[in-house]
Amino acid sequence: MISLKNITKTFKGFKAVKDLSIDIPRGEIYGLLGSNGAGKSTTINILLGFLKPDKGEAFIDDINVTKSTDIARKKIGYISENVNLYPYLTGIENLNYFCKLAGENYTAEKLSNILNDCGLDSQAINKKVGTYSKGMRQKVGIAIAFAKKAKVLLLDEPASGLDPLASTELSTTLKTLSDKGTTVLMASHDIFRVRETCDRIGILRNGSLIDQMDTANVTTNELEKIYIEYMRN
Amino acid sequence: MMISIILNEWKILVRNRSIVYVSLVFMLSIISVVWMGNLQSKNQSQAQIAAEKHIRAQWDNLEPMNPHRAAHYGVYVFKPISILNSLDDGVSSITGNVLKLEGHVQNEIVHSEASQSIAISRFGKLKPSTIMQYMVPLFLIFLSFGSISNDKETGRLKLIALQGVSLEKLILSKSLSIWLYGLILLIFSILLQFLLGSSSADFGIRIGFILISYGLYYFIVVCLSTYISASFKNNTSAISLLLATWIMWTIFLPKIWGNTVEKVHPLPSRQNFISQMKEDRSKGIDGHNPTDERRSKLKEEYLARYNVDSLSQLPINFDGIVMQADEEYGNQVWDKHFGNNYLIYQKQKRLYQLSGLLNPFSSLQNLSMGFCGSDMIHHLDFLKKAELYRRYLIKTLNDKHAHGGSKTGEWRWTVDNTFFRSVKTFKYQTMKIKDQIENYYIDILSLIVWVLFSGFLIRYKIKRDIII
Amino acid sequence: MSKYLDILKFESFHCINSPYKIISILLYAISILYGCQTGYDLFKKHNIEIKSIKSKNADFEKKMLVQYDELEQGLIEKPRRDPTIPYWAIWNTPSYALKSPSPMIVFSTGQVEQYGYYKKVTNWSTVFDNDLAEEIANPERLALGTLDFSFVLLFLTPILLIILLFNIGGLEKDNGFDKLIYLNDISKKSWLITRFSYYFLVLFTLICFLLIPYAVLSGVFTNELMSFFTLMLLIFLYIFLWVSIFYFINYWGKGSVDQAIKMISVWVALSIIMPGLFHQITSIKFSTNYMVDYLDVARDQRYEIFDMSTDTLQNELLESFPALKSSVYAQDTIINKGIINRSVSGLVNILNKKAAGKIEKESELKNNFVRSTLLLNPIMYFQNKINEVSEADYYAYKLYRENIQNSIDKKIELILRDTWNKEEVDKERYIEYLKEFKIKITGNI
Repeated sequence: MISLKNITKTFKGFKAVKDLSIDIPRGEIYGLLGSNGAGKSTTINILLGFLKPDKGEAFIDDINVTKSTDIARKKIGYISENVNLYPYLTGIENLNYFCKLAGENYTAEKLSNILNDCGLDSQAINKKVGTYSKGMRQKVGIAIAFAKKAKVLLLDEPASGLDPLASTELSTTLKTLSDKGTTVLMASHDIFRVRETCDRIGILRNGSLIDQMDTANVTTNELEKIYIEYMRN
Repeated sequence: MMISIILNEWKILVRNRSIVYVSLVFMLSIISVVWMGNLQSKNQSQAQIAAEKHIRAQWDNLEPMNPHRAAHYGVYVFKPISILNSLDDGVSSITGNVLKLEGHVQNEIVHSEASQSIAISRFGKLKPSTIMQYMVPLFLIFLSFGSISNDKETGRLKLIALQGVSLEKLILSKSLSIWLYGLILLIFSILLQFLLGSSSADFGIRIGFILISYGLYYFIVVCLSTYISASFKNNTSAISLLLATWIMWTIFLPKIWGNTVEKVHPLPSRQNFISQMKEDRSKGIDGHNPTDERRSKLKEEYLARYNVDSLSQLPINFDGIVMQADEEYGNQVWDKHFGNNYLIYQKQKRLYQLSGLLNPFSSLQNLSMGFCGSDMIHHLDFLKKAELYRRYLIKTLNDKHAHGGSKTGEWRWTVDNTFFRSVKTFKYQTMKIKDQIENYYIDILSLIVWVLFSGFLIRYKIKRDIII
Repeated sequence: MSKYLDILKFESFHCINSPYKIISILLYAISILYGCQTGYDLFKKHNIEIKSIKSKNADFEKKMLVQYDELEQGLIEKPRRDPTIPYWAIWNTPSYALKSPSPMIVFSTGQVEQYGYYKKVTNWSTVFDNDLAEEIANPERLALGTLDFSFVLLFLTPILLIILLFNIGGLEKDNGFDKLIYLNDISKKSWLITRFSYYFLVLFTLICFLLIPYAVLSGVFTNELMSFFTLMLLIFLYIFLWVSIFYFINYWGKGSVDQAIKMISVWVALSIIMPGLFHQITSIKFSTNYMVDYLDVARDQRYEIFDMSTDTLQNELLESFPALKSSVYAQDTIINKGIINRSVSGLVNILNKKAAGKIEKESELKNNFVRSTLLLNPIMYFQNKINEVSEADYYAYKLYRENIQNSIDKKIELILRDTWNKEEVDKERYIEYLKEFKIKITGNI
C-alpha cells in the first residue's frame, strides 16, 4: 500500500534521506523511529507529495506520488504533531469544511457519526475547536481522514504532547482503522508509543533505514536499548 | 470549492468578536463622517450661495453708473464646493475661493481656507475618502497578513492541500473573501453618499467610477497582502513588509514624487510671471492713456470706417472701442501666460499620474478627487470658465459703453440698473465626467496593471514549498 | 548600573544585526536630509525673489532721482503723474512690504506656501489684496504637502520608532522566553525602559547630527540660536511622547504582531484621524470665510465714498484725521477738489482696517477653537509650535499683514500731511520719502 523505492532527498548539499526503501502492506501500522533530523518528516512530506525526491519513487496504493500527486493525495489522510483547526468553528463545522474542500457533502448526522466513531463525544462536537484539548483536535484530524475514506494515514509525531489517556485513545483508534484496512505510517521518537501501536518498526538514522523489526518480537526495553545503541553509534 | 473557502472565511470573520466590533466602529465612523461631510458641505455651500446673492444684489442695485466704471467695480465669483466635496475635498481647502472679475486685469483666486487659521491637519479633513483611503486598506492588511501564514504556521495548510485544494485557488479565495469585506464597507459608504447626493446622471457616473476605483485598489491591497502572507516564513515578517509598503505608498512616495514633479516641470515665480505679463501687456493699448500710439492707430481706423474727421463726430463712443481692444489684447496675453502655466500644470499632473505604476495609492487618490470634482483639473476648469465669464462681462460693458448711445469722452454718461440686471450671472457648471475621462486614463490603467500584476503573482509566483 | 549598560550594549548588537532596522534608519536619515534640502531650497528661493525686488526698487529709485534732476534742470516736462505733487511722489516711492523667511524654515516650511511674502504697498492697498496671493504652485502638490523636516519628524519618526521598537519584548513573547528574562535580577519595566532609551538616544543624536549642517548653511546659529534650541527641545519632547506611548503598548503587548498592529493603529489615529476630525469639526463650526465684509469695503462702500460730494468728503476727512485741521489747506475757504480726491484713500483705508479687523477677529476665534482641541491633537500641537519657531505660521503672516497696514497708514499719513500743507516735492523731499518707506521687512533679513 505504501512503497518507498530508493528515495534520496538532499537540501543544500545535506542528504536528509539516503536511498530509503520501505514497503508497508495494506492494514499495517508502521512506525518510523528516529531522532530529530533523522529524515522522518522529509519522508512523510515526500509521501504527501509536498517534496519531490531527488532519486527514487514513492507509491501510495500503487500510484506514483510524484507523477500523480493529486490522485495519490485523495487516498491519504494526514495528522501532524499539532492538529490546528479553525478555533472559531466547532468540531463538526471544521469537519464539514474540510469535507467540502475534498468535494464530499455529508449530512450533519453523518458528520456527527464520523466524529463519534473517531472518539469525540457528542457534547464536544458542537463546541468551538478553540476550547478543545490537543487530543480532541487530533480526533477531529482523524475524522477528516476517515471522512475522506483515506486508504493511507500518515502521522508525524502524533503522540507528542498528549497525556497518557489521549495517547492510548489514539493508539486504539489507529488500531481500529488498521483493522478496517487503513495503512498507517507513524513517524515518532516516542519508543513506548510506537512499540504499543505499530506492527512493524523501522529505525532511521541520518536519512538511512538502519533496522526494521516486528513489534511482536521485541519488548519496549529491548527496543529502547537497540534504539539508543544505534543513536550512540 | 472556492465558495466553500470564502464562506468559511466569512464564518470565521463573523465569529471573531474583535472583527465584529471593529466593523461596527467602521460603520459608525462612516455614518458620522458622511454626516459631517454633508453638514460641512451644506454649511459651506450656504455661505457660498449667500455671498453670491449678496454680491449679485449689489450689482443689480447699482446706482446709475458709467459702464466702464462698472467694469472697475467688477463682480466677485465664489468657487462653489465640488460635486462630491463631502466625500473627498481634494485641493479645495488649499485653493482660493474668491475671484474678482474686472476690467483690464485678470486677478488670482484668493482667500483659501488654509490661510485662515493655524495648521489643523496635514492629511486633510476627516472625509469618507480619508477612511476609505487610509483606514480600510490598513484594516484589510491586518485581516490578510496572516491569512496564509497562519495556516502555514499551524500546519492547516498541509491539511487543506491534502484535501485537493490548489494553492492558487486557496490564496485567491482568501483574497476574495477579505476583498468582499472591504467592498461591503465601501458600498455602505458610497450608498450613504448616494442617498444624500443629487440624482443627476453625472453624479451617478462619478459614484460608479469611485466605486470601481476603490474596489480595484482594495483588490490590489488584499491580493498583495495575501501573496506576501503566503511568501513569508512567519506573520511578523509579513506584517513588517506590508506596513512598510503601506507607509511607502500612502505617506512617502506621494510627497517625494509630488515635490519631484514640480522640480522636473518648474512653474515660473509669481514675480517673473507678473513682470512678463506686464511686459507683454504693455505692448497693447493703454485704454486710459490718450497719448498711447496704438490708440491713435485704432482711432484713425475708426475715423476712416465711419468716414468722419474727429472722434466727436463718431456716432459711437470710441472710449468703449479702445477699452474692448485693450481687453482683447489682454486676453491674448492671459491666454499665453496662463495657458503656459496650465500646460505646465498638465505636464506635472501627467508625470505625477505615472507614479501610479509604482504606487497604486497615487492613482486612487487622483481618481478619488477627480471623480469627486475636487482635483486640479476641476479647479482649473472653474478658473477658465470664470475667465470666459469675465470676458463676456467686460465685453458687454464695453459694448454698452461704445454703442449704448454716448459719445466719445462722455465719461459721466451712465446706464441704470436695468442694464446691469440684464447681465447674466456667473453660474459654474461642473464639467461632465464622461467628457473628461481621458484625463484619468493613466490612473485607471495603472490600477488595472496593478490588478493584473497581483493576479499574476498569485497565479504564477507562489512558491510550492511554502506548504512544508 | 553596569547591568543597564550591558542591556544598552546588547541592544546595539540587536540593532546592528537587524538589516531592516539599519535600512530604516538610513532611509529616515535620507528623508531628513531631503526634508531639510526642501526647506533650504524654499529659503533660498524666497531670498532670491526678495533680492530681486530690492534690486528692481533700487533701479526705480535711481530712475526717479534722475527724473527729479531733469525736472529741476528743465530738461523734461512734467509727466501726467506729476512727481512734484506729494500724492504722485509718494505713489512713486517704491514701498514693498516683505516677509523675509526665517532661516528656521529650512526645518519647517509650515504655512509659508499658503501666503504671499512680498507686496507693493500703495495708499490704496489692503492687507487682503489680490497681489498678496501665494507663490504659483500646483494645488495638488500643495494638498499633498511638502516633505520638509517637520513632516519627517512628526510623521515618519513614529513610524521609524515602530520599526525599531515593535519587537522589543514582543520577540521574547513570540518565542516564549520572556519569563526567562524577568526571572533574572531586572524588572520588566527597567528592562523595557533601558532598551527603549537606546533607540531614543540613537534617534535624537541622529537628528541633531543631521540638522546641524543645515543650521550652519542657513545661518540659524547666527540669527536664530534660541529658536534652534527651542526646536531641539520640541524634538526631544516629541520623541519622548511617542516612546512613552509605545512603551505602554509593549508593556501590555502580547507579541510582535499585536504590538505592531497597536502601534500603527495609534499612529493612524493620532496622525490622520484626530487631526482630520478636528479639521472637519472646525470647518463645520467655522465655514470658509468668503470675505464678504472685506469685499463690501473693497467695492460697495468704497464706491459710496467716491460718490460723496467734495465738501462731505472734506468734513469726513477732518473728522477722521483731526491733525489736518491745522494744515495750510484747512485754513482755505475755497474747496480744492484735487486735494480732496487725493485724500480719499485715507477714508477708504479706515473702512479697510475695520473690515480686516473683523476678519482677523473671526480667524482668531477659529484659532482659539483649534487651540482648544490641540490637547487631543498632539501632533498638530507640535506642528504649530515648530511652525511658530520657524516663523512660518498664521501669526507670522498676521504680523506681516500688520506691517503692511503700518506702511499703508504711513503712506496715507504723508499724503494727507503734505497734500493738505500744499507741499511741492523736490529731490530732497523725495529722498526723505524713500527713507520713510525703506523696505519694510517682517522677519529676518
